[in-house]
Amino acid sequence: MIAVGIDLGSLYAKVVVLRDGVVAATHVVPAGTDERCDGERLLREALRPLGAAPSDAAVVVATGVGRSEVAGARERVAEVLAAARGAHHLCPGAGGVIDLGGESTRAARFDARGDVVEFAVNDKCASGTGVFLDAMAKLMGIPVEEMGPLSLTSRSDLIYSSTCVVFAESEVVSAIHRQTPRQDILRGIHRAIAQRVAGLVGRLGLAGDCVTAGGLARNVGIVACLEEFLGRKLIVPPQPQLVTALGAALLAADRLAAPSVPGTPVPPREDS
Amino acid sequence: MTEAPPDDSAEKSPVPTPDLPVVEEIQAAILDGLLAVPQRKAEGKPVVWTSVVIPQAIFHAMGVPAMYQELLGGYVSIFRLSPKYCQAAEASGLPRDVCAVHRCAVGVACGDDRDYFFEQTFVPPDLVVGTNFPCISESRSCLHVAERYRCPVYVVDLPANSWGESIPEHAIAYGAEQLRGLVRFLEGFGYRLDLDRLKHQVALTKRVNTLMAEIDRLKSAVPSPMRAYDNVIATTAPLALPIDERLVGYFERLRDELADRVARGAGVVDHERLRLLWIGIPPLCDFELLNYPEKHGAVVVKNMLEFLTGFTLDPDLIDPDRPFESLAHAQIASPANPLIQTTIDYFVRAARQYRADGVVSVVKRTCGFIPAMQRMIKDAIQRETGLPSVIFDLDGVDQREYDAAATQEHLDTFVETLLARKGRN
Amino acid sequence: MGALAHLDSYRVLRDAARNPDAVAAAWKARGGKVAGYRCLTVPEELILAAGMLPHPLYGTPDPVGPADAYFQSCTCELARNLFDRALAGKYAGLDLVLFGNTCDIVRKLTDLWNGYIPGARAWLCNTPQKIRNEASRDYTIEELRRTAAAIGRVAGREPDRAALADAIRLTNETRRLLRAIFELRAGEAQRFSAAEALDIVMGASVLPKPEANAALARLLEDLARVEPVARSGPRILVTGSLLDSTALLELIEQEGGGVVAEDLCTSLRYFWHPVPAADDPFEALYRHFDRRPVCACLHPLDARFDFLTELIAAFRVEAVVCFNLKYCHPFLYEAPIFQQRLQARGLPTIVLEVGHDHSGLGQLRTRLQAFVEMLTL
Repeated sequence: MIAVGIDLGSLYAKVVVLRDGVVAATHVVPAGTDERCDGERLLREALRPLGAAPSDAAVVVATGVGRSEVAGARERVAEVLAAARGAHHLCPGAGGVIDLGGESTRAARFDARGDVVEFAVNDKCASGTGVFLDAMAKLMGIPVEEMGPLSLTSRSDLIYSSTCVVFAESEVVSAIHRQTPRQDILRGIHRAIAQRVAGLVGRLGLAGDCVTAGGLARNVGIVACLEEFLGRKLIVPPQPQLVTALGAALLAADRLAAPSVPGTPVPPREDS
Repeated sequence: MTEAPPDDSAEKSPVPTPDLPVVEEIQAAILDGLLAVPQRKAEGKPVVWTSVVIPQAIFHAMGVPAMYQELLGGYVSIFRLSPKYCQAAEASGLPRDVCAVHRCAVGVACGDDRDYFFEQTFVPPDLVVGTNFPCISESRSCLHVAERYRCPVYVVDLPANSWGESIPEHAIAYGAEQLRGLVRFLEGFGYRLDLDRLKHQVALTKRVNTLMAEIDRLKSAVPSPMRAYDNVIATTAPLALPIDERLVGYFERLRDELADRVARGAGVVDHERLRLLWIGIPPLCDFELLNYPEKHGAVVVKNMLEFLTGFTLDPDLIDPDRPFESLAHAQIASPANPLIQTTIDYFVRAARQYRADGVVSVVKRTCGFIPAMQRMIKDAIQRETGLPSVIFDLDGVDQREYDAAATQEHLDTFVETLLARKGRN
Repeated sequence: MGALAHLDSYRVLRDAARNPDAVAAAWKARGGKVAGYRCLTVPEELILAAGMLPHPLYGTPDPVGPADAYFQSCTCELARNLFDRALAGKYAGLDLVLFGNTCDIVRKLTDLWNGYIPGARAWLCNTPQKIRNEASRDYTIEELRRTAAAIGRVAGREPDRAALADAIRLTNETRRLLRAIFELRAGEAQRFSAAEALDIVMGASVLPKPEANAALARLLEDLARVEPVARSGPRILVTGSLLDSTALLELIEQEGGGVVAEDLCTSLRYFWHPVPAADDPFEALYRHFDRRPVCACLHPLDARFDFLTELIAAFRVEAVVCFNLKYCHPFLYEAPIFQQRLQARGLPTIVLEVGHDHSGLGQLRTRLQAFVEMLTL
């Protein structure tokens, strides 16, 4: 039986396919600019390596900021629920997930069953997101994917404003003009982002193991700084950007296993 | 003076329509009431720019026409005019980082270009009265208005409650003296206090608060008989309307309408699944968002505005024969007054009484005090009742900062998490 | 421009200002008790009279850390920084912490301290938020007595009348000496920089009063022998809430401004008004509270402005820099009114926003350059 999870983010669409409860295929593409995401096309592309067709998918669950636009999804769930489910599956003993997304960061504490107990989202003042990192990358003329590794070559204590993005940008510009070493500036930026995220995590009182999810979790510099601020190691799955889609797929598989579980999911949002 | 705008009633009014008939009347009366002040000025009466938080019994007893900054500022936002008036306030010098409600209000007072409604409701004030309860904005934003119109200023200084449940006599005496000082200040402008009339106003205040306590018990019924938006408008009534028999009548009717619904087991949603407490300022520019969770079968059953504006007082503390002392006492003891314990007690009691499932706690970026207490309230409610809270940004007063999609997303997510846990348990 | 580094009397004060924790630790090591406080509405005299060391809580320019978990980020950075330090155990040695009834955030700090700092005892000194207000006399005195009793319970001895009178004498001597030192800046020539001035007053507030007074007295004598330097640049007054580091003052002076006075909680407002004489020390402390416009939270605004104009006259100020710590609401409301009033009187005034962690200082340099250039045209 095929269960599919689609995580339609602001920048990328991620798909995870489970066949009989095991990950059989994954698929990542830019989210595109179409107003309505063609879920049919996503499914087709994701299932092609398995020789399967969209009609073979028994249940599709959509999540992510664009979940209401995924035509063909039987159910839509909030990202944090999917991320928690995915994190719990990858690490049954973990107690939390930190989802470092492009435009937003969220953290959740979940219980032994993977149910979210509490969650927190980044506030507007924060510079704790991928969008901020992208802006800094442009400012410094460095490819985003190089920023993390380069930041690790610094041991500087620099940290830029973690409260106000405007201040942070101004500080980086000043640092560039002062010819502060690039790696030190990058470390300061990464520490700022990590500080914001650590504050979010702190609000939840997350104890125990934490799993990271989202594209920004692939940035080794962010993870290192976050571990420094939290005072503990984080669990970084091999493909953190797929954790939420995996969680959605697992929720789809749950529906297959017990279609009449009480506390039924939220009805799909009305199409606008 | 500009002409009345053309009739655009075909367009959806930004002012939501209440559910209960009596609340719809209250809403209309509030809007009408705001129009009355300029007429009083035209009659030669000095007009005061002030705060709803100050015991209005005093203004009513002395016949002082008052413009309330929170109401004018609030309606700026409700009418979706906040970008214009906030910019006007900022152009007059007020920083963008201060309270959006007060920026909207100062924008009306100090801006040069007022829309028709505000032309009909605002006149240059002659005197300004502020207070330090419950936050700094209440005593500071009005100074900008005073500066602009060269008004004398009186500030009612209410002691913070550092004593807990038992407020000592010296604090009550000082608070009462502050209110007497207000009377003396107003008398300097030709107004006279009729003490009997004040006692009558205080007696009515007590009556209204007694009714509100009864209504509170009815509102806590399962399923919830009252929509969240209706609740806010009803709570605004004593702040915006004269404290008279008409106001008492409104609350008696509200009590009766709710009692009827409770007796019939009629709820505002067909299948009520969740009951939510709301902490923080709701989005005035999208006021109906308070009802948004209903699409999931969730109802906001209690919200912070019910006590934040200072009118909702413990009726047992109100004594018409000691008007100044009892009003001061009741306000000092209010959950809106720091320190935090009374606020925590209020929400823990509400969580139990209303059989809440979760707490929505929103952060208006420009609020100076709520963001410093949300963690404490969250932890206390979790500790005492096990209820989870979600805290997220929501500035729905200055529309430029409002993100409707993100707000709905956060509410949807919270509701989903609560339902998932409820379904499993 | 620093001129005093060679003076031992200055170094004693500077070292205390730069490391207040060490001063408190040394007092504790001698078996004493320490009461931290924030906001000038808390009378140091009550602490001194109980035999405890008053320890003003100053922040550090570190970015906000774990305190972010307890406050939303749209709140005062100083408060969050202080709470960070408390969470990190930097105030573990304090036997009591007193907060003034000033701004919304400081009042919340009282609750947060009691709620989340293990073993902490935080007390709100619940004085009024109005001054020039005879009506508050009985209330204020009663609250000062209650605060004294709370301090006494921790100290093991309640301040008595004689001890209070002695404490007032000590603190008035501190004020007298600081005023004498600072009034030197009213002249044409300059003997020390604004940064050194801040070190002097902060150091005096941190040290045990007898040591502070001894250092100040020596410094006053030493200053008579310091060769003054002709002042260059426009005479600038800096006004705002508080600065607990010298960075902004140094920036202004680097850009050519001559800072002659600071209307700050950590500067002139700390010492400008002595405690008046009265038979009853609590009466004296009430009168002191009632005449000192030490905070933008205190009504009336005119009291603050009157004080500002007094300083402008005393120090022959030619321009004013108003600064706001980000999200400091009381001063955010005050600054635009003051700017309008001052400019109406022909005093160029600029309003700046500063991060407590020094973020945004780079942007300020450009604005300050332009401001000073405009003044010197």
